Amino acid sequence: MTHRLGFVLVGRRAECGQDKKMIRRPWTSFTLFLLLFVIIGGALAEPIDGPTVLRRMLAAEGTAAFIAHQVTTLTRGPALTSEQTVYRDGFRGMRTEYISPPQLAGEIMVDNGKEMIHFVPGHKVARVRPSRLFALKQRTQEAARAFLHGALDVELVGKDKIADRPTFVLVVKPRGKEKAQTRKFWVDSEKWIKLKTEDIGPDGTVLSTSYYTKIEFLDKLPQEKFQFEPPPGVKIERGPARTQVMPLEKVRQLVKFRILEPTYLPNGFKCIGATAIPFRQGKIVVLRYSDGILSFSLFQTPGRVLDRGFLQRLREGPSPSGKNIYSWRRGDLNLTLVGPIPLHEVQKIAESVR
Amino acid sequence: MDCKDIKEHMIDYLGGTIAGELRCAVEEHLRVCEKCRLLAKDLERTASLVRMLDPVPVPAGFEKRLSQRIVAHQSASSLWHSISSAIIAIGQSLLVKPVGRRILRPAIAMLLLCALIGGSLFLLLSSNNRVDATDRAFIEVCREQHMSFAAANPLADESALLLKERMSQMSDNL
Repeated sequence: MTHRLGFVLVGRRAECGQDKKMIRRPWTSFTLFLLLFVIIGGALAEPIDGPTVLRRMLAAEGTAAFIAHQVTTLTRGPALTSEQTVYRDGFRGMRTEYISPPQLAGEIMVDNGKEMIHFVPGHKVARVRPSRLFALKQRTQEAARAFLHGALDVELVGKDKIADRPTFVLVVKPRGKEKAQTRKFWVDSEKWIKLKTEDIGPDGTVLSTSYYTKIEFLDKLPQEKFQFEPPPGVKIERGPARTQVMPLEKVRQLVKFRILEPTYLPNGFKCIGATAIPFRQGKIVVLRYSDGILSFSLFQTPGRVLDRGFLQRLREGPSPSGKNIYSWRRGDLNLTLVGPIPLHEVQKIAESVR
Repeated sequence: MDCKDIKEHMIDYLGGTIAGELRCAVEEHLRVCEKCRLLAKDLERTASLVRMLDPVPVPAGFEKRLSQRIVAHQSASSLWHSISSAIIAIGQSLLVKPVGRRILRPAIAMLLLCALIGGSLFLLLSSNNRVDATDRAFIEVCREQHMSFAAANPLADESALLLKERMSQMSDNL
């Protein structure tokens, strides 16, 4: 009864000088203090909802350090699974060592934030490319902006456990799209790292899954982990240097041909930048489009880069290998679209290019 | 005996299955011809390497399956032989008959025309799907550029994208 009625009754009893009741007083006060602390703290703390989890997940991309065992499965076409060990130190470094399938076993990808080296022991080659982590850093800011501007619908749909760690389950999709590809994330509720990702098609089928089976968080990883010295006899292939993504107007000043733009874009997509990359004696202009989840690139270059017979759709829809490349010609320009866009949408884009 | 003759007898010579005059003739030629001598040396080396290999056991039922396939192949060949013989016979009878002679020329002309149209269509269609080295380099640049862009999305599943990409590269190389 005393506890139910609260501090008024307790206080009175204390005033009456009853020793027995006096003993209870400090405990009751402590309980009340704790209760108040929880109520006030709860009111001040940020509520855990979808947007909060997504925000924290994006922030953790640049800071979390861990070693993990990851399993990736492609379910579209013939199912294919790979296993790899991942070393990650925020935007400072990432190393992926493939364990299986046999075709990939032994391949290593090392990214130190400046360049990425992909070692393919089967071909005795190490391909050096611009850092993806560097691009990821930029794109994380872009994703955060897209999210802030309401381009994404984020929903917290539950809780689960992945790699023995509690997670929040999050569904992210482009805003306002009824039938869209969605992504489901299982986000560590303490470290905010995505422990599992599922790619879900517009019809609800799972297209790919990747998850960590074991993860060990660390304060930092040694930088040597993100250096790679190719073994002797390995050929080093250097790709094009990093290109800067910039507004289209700036790119127009860098090239001598008139850049074409599609006037039609699939629902939710918008241009998020452009770049010009050197190719042989000329340049290829790349326009980047994204709806926050999916992205496609439109390449254009003048002259006969492509063989006469090649100027047509190269791959229809999602092929088992996941290629989606379409090419066509407009005036003197070769146009090539790469990305997971359905054929009927590609046709509309191609027709609208001006 | 010239190099051509020697090549015909080389395997028998190395296997020790020829003797007498023929063997002497081969030996004489090998003495004077460096090219054939090198060939003999190569063949001998290859044979010795093959002899070093452990014998591989033949799976159960292999011989039976092999003989069945040989019989099937022979019967298919004999069927083709019968068909071709029939065509030749018809052709010969047409040549003999005056009516046959009259239709033979237009028929041949028709056949040639069909072959011409068919061949052109085949070439056109195959060239539409052709990816030569120039195209390949360009497409590779496009694909790689897009991949870097798509994988750098923090909301993307980078590992799935990389797996797709590697698999597609491998299928292209096959």
